[in-house]
Amino acid sequence: MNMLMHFPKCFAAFRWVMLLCGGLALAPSLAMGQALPPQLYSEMDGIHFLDDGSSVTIWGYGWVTDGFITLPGPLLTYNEGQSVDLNFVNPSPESHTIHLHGLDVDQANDGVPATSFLVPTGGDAVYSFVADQAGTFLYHCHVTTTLHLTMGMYGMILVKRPDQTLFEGGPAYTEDAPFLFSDLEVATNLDPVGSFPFHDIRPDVFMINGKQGSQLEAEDERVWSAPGDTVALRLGSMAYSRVRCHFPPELHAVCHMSDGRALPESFAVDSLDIFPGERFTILVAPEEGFEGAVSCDYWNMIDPGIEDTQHIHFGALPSSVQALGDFGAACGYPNPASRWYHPAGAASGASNGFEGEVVVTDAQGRECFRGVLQNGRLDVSAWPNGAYVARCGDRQPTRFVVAH
Amino acid sequence: MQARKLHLSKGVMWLALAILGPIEVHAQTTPDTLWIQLNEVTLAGDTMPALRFCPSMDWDTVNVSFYVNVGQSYEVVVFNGDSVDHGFELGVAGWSAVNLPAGESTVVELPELLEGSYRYGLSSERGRVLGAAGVIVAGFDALPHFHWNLGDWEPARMWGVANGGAVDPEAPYVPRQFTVNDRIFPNTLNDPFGHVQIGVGTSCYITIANQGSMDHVLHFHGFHVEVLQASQHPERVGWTKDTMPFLQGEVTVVRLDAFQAGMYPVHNHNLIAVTNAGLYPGGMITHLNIAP
Repeated sequence: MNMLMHFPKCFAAFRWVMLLCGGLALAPSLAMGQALPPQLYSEMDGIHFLDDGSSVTIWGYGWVTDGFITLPGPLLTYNEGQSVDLNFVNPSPESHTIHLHGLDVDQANDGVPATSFLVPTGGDAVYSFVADQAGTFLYHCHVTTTLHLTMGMYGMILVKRPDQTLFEGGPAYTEDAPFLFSDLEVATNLDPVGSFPFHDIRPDVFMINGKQGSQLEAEDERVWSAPGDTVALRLGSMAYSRVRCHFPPELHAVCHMSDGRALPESFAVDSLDIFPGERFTILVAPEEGFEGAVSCDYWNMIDPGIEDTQHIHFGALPSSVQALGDFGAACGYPNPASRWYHPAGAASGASNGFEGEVVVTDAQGRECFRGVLQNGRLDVSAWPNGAYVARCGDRQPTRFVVAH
Repeated sequence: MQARKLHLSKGVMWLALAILGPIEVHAQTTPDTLWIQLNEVTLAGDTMPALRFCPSMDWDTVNVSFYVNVGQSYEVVVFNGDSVDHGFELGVAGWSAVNLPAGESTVVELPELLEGSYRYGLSSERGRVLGAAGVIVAGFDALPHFHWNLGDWEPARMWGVANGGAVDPEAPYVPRQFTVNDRIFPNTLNDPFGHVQIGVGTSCYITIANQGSMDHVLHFHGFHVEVLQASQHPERVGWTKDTMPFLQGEVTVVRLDAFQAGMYPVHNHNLIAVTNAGLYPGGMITHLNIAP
């Protein structure tokens, strides 16, 4: 019996009071109209839908502003060298922490209950650190870790460089594509209290970014690339399995980094083992029109054998999209952009004579903006770093990068 | 908030030291005799048969690991106190197992070794399942050197083998105990060769040998380490990692540069292995204790 499923509904209301109070405490200047700082929270009554339509209970992290948790937790993105205060509030019925896996933070901010501190029910905390190394990292709860991880309390962290290179002196790339491997044991998620003993957790659901099977074939789960694009696959594992990725030759995959550090020598890769807690950054340059997949085998760590295979699917963007950095008269500027972007290339004012509807999509084809420009420009200051495609009527689409 | 964190962590550290008591010390000089002995060990309530390479006639629950000079051969007398013959194996290319008749002493000539760490143990299934294995470290002596022999144990399988049976390859493996130098956490913190204790601004080597029946993966909190040797991942030499795998039988050497003070766990990130008979926390956890 999952006792947590039967928590009084009044507790849910209490949690939201706690969330609100926690948020207000963190932002005393709210009354002056300033935005709340981003704040993670934890919950233990989330629902996650599997590919077969069934659902399991999850514990996890979400943004206070979203009001729901996800599997995995939100992607945390920082700039190299950034001083970070990661705000966390815990309205859930158990204590939790955030361990910043691989960021080499000091003991006080390490997120291990015995050597750092717990965030009890109703408590909040700030994890402070400097994101001094670009790369791929993870975060997860370190309370009864065996259970809290299989229940879903984990996510990925990207530390990026503003010049869109992997590391100082490293290769440039067009787009990040983060993929977090994980697994869960349905019986445990349905009955976490009854899941003891923990030494015999045998996962039976295997996921990439919390998705599996046909869920990964959806358009917004694919990696979309145009000719000439170089995509940084940010691969990390919170699984109980060893994940072996197989890269089709059409991707021209090259491994450049592991665990947030540049490798002494990059190397071409056709298959790669990723053990629990490891991360790798692979640059791929898909051949024009490539629409295939990276297959990912989940190997049992105890009794070797493949338990399941999931796929990272690739799709091809039209080759008519103008290449990054190819500035023509009709191209937008500045590129990269951090505050304003002029998609129709207007020097100022009325967008170079274009007054129609502008549509912007991200690299995965998701629509980010549709409408008529004000003063010929887009405010991209709150947009995530990445590559975008702008379409201005019948004009040739242009690609641009947002980099903060 | 920051002050509260530090206050709590120091309190926990002192409490742990008070509970754990004084640290025991095992000799790590090159032994002239190794004693293979059969006995029992009890880990977190599970009693199981065990074979160990002991440094004397006295039973010791911890296998001997020892340090030798580079390029120097040694003769070691190995007494086989088990009731069956065994083979002494050494993880060196071209090495052939030396037969160890039951109840007899045999002189084993260790070859001149290049700088590195090497697994030694018994070649039989009985020897492997019951856990007679250690490491020999040649060189890597410019810095303090710690070692972690990783083990995983399923008592039912061990009792079956100890009673003359064989491992059923079709039976699922369900290890209940996970050890570093034959200890479970928190007893791993009593181990002077496993519990890394150095000063901030200094460095050390750590040899990690997977002596178990499954692959393992360790994650370092607070630090990345440089891979100096990885017997089954030679392409990873020179990499800087915080999480790394150790395939069955693999021996790895890393260098840790302690740039910050504090107490940081190192643990298996296959999280079934941080348990003692299913209870968390336990198993394959030790600490880096970096003094200010």
